[in-house]
Amino acid sequence: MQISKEHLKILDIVVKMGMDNASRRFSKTIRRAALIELVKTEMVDISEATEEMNNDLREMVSSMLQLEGAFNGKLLFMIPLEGALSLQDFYTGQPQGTSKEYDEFTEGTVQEIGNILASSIGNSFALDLGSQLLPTPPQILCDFAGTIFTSLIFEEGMYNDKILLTETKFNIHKTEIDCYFFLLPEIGSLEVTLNKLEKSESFA
Amino acid sequence: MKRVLIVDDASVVRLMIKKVLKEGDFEIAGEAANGVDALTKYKELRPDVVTMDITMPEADGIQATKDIIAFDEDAKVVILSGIDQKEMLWQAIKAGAASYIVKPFENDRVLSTLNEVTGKQ
Repeated sequence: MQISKEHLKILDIVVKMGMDNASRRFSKTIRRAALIELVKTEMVDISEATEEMNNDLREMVSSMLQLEGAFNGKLLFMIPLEGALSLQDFYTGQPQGTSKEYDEFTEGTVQEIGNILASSIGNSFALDLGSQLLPTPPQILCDFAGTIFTSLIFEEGMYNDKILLTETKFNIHKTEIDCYFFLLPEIGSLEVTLNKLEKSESFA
Repeated sequence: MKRVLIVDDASVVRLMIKKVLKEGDFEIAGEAANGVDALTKYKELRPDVVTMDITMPEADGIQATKDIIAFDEDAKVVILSGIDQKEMLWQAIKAGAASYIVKPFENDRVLSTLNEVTGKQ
């Protein structure tokens, strides 16, 4: 499984534009300044990434969904429970500290952030590459980071040693909320799309 | 007072839409969290207008819009979705949607669209 440096760069740029779009949309939704930054896009060793996640013993709330269209892939947004409760207060317009326990609104908040991230990346692909990319309904989990991450990479881990991951950082309303966002494209379908793009540009 | 059925799988989004509709003097007829339930609730509640998400479990908002229009050709469905892609807009129009608003929405835009679609003054 390989991806060329050029294609990695294109993916990095398109995801970055998607994150800029997501930042604007997220800020508008919660009526607070929010910045979602792309930290890196790289091939990582599955065992190392899993070990890192297993070392994070915090309870997490996550939204996991599939992307279908221009390429197939998975997306995972994962945030510590206390961060999710804080975002829930932003979303529901309540003072910070009001939400104390995980409930359907915590679930709905994380679900909607997953939707914003997924649709922003999809919209970015549609606009920049002219290819439709749509999210499926998300699956919401509340568990430890390692358990959630394992469910994300379970299939890939059976066939590959390395996976392509993008990682981001959230800054919301002057507070850095420590969370994880992983985009896991299926390399084969991504390469097909990016090859088509290269060919169409060379003929233009 | 015009009655609205809110269809979205995220509880916080339904809550946000409810707040906006109450400001605009609309009555909440009911809520549904997936496309199948949307049709059931539509038949049961017969709202004046439906706000419809697209990405949902069971049946998506495009299918639910088609099903509602097939049941009631005069039904008014306004799509509220984060998907800002031409192909999806086209699918929504073909399904019979009266309008399409991209999330996150401006409150005024939602209210003016619902007013226009329902003929509310």
